[in-house]
Amino acid sequence: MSIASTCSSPPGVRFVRYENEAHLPGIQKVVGSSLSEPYPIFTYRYFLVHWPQHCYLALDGTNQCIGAIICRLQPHKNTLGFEMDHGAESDGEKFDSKLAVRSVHGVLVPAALMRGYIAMVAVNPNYRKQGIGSKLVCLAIESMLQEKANEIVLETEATNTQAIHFYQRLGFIKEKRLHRYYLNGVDAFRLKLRAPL
Amino acid sequence: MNSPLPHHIPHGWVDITPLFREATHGKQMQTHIVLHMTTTGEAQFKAFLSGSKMQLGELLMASGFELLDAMSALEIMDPKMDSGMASVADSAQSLRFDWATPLSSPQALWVMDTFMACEVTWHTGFSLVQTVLTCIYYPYISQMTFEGLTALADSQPHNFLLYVYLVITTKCIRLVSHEMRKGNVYEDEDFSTATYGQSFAEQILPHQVPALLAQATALVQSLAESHAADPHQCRIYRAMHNRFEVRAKLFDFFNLLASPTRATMPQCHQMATLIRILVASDIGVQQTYALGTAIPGAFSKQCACRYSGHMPPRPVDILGIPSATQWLLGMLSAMIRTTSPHHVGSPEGLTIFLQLLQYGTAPLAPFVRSWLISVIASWDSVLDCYSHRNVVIDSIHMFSCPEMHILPLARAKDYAARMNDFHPALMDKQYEASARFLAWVVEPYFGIYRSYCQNRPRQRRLLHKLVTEWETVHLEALSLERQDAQLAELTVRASVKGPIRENRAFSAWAYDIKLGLMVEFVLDAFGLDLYSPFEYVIGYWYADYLVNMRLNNAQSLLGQLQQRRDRLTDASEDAHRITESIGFLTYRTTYLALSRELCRGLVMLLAGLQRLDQHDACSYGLTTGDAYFNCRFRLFMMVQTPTYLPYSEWAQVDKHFSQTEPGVLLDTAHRHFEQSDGYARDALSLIANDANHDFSIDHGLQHHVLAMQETARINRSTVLWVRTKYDECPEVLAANRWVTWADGGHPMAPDYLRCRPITPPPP
Repeated sequence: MSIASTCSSPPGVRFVRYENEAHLPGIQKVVGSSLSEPYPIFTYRYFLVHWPQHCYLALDGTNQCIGAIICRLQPHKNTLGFEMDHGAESDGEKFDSKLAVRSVHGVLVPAALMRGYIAMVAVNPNYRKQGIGSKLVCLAIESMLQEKANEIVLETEATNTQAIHFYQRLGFIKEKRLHRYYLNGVDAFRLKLRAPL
Repeated sequence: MNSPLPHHIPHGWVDITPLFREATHGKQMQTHIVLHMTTTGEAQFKAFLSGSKMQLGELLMASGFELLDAMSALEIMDPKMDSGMASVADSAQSLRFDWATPLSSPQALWVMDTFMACEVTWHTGFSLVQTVLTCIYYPYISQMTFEGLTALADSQPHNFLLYVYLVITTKCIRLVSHEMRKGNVYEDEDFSTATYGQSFAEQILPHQVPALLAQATALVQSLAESHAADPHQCRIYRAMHNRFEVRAKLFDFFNLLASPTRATMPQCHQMATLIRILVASDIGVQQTYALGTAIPGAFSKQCACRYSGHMPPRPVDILGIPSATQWLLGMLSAMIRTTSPHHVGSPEGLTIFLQLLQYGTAPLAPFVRSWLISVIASWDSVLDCYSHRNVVIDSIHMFSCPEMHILPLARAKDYAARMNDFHPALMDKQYEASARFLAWVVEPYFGIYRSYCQNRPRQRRLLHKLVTEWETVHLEALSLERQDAQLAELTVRASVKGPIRENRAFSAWAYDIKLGLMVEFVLDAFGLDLYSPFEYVIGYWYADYLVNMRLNNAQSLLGQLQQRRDRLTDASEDAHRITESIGFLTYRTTYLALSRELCRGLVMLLAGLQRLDQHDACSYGLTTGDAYFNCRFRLFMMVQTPTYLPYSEWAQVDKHFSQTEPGVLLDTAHRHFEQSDGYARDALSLIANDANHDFSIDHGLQHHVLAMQETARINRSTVLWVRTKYDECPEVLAANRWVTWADGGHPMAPDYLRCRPITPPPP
């Protein structure tokens, strides 16, 4: 059973994959009104041009954007240069047949290389509490998992307990606490989802 | 041009400001607009634009245009990002404010304190724009000359006092900022050194500052005397005098740090932390803050927004009594942790020590190495840690000494001299190497202490780094002891009988430090809120696992020492040292056993409650499979340390928990808490019988033991309460799910040493 299928779609809301620049103003509007960080248009385009297949929109009956998720999927920089083959250059110690580790300068790192990153998730305040955000996140996760993501990370405000619980329900765990990560001075948690083996 | 940006344009950048001005019909520009392209690239770019027919959504992309560039890009004319757009309000406000208005003494005091609060906030990690530069007097004093300033003393005494104070504070800020940038060992999340092109009252030279201070101090004293009949005014002037004294000491201290012979960033940053604590705890500030009278508009968020597109995210923190108390407690706690026996020395210092000994004296390397082995063996491992701890305590105390810039090395040399165990041919080098090693040992304590106060996530990363380094030291120590055991026997002192190869003191010492760091790493995550409630069991189980390894290591050392002690006569010097070491190690094993039992009790208690509550799956809507998978992943994240823990061990324990009746788990928890109480009594007894009071009074160990004993007692009563309820009606208890961890935070945070009991619900 796919992750996305576990999230129900609210009636009257369509979920579409990002197609072209015509979607950008709607995304900017909904993200700009929901998130504290001021993102320039270059940030949107950085994600949307590189990884349009992992960006989704929620549209209402009049095709207005009421929610959006923007993601990235690329090799994790700390593990670049290593072969994808599990076990290569590893110290051989494993705790799972597919989740191998290898020693890098004395530090064990996972052999997983592809890291998905959920950069922005936003839903119009008038449409919240209807499962739209959940559906968007599930769609993005599934999209990245299909492209062999080994892990998916995101940051969320440490005070946003609802979001943290939501992601924990999906299987994310807290990996780090980022000191004053946001411009408003709030700490962030980096949450990580390990891809199913 | 009013641009705050430097007018120099780096090579490869093209200034298109004239073009833009032309396009905007000559509107005034506040900033330069530059494009990064070479002349050749510009021509190609223009040719491309003229010949291309780009569609909506098509982009010209550079291969190196990454996320950081995208995030850093400016959108011109957008007030949120174009700082030039915000300068109008800035100018208008500046024009409205009259700096030359004579101030009253309460007004001057208020500005002083608020400015200091801004400085403190800067030390906590905010930028100058958000803090110090919000003071509207700042640009004024930045232009004031020495002569102009001194001339104010008679006509506007309170203005003079305020301006002198601001100038000296600015000088302190400059010194700290300079040192921080020069040191280059900080992280931007800890400290912001960007000056936004501002000068720090450079027109007043450093050698003129003492004269200003002296003049201001004399003036405030004379003012206090002239207002002796007015207690209120006297208090204000006394408060001012207090501030000048503190500021003078800080200025001298920073100047010492900035001197060419001793420019040490860590101490500087440490001092910055102490400023915050000093300011917060300064009785004068707390009690007389109300004496000040606010000046509307003297501190404005708009004042410096032209320097940055980012508005201050929150008001400048004015530290009050609650936050002062919090910082003081944090500092005391950090000191206790710093001086506790399971902290570490510097692996870097140790590496230098080894290099100096081995490579600096290549022809004599075998003898040096054997000497090293014998010396380290004679340190008796744990006692060595204990001795180094005194160096650390001295180094912390030295902050009150004006000669602090020479004390650490001098103290280290003194200690090295007392070792009196050098090879005659290598006296100088060994002496210097030992001294440097001991001086370096102090450094990581500063690091941990600093990061504890400033940034706990950074402390966690530092711990992780230290674990990795100490793993290397441990492996090298093992190798060294293995290779040189025979050489060591050649130089063993006559009083030591028997082969020294039996003693693995060096490697055991390194191993113990590594395990201690790992425990810290795991438990630190509780304070950072990294564990979800259903993961608490794993956290304490892994802490128990590590503490148990430390205990085994300590017991092994204790056995070795007792064997050595049995071979010696009572009169020998070594016998006394080893006996002392055995005493300390006995206490240490008791303390570790206490920690282990407490951990195990908590594991069993949490596991029992989870079994009652089925918390691991229900509260988060996880399926059992998800929870199981998450536990495995959490364990992996937790043990990203060189000593890799196989998942299978936890899986067995988890299976045992799932198959055991909750009541049995609770009974086991009770038993462990009882045993920990017994160990606590033993430890307290050892402390009471310690004639020298070596490890009880000075280092707060008794406090630790008492705290753990209290923790065990409270948790024991909790177990009994739950057990009673469980016996009464287990089904109801399970259905009610009264332990709402998901909403209530962590019942055990921050770590097992200071854990809070689970609060039972009201009956």
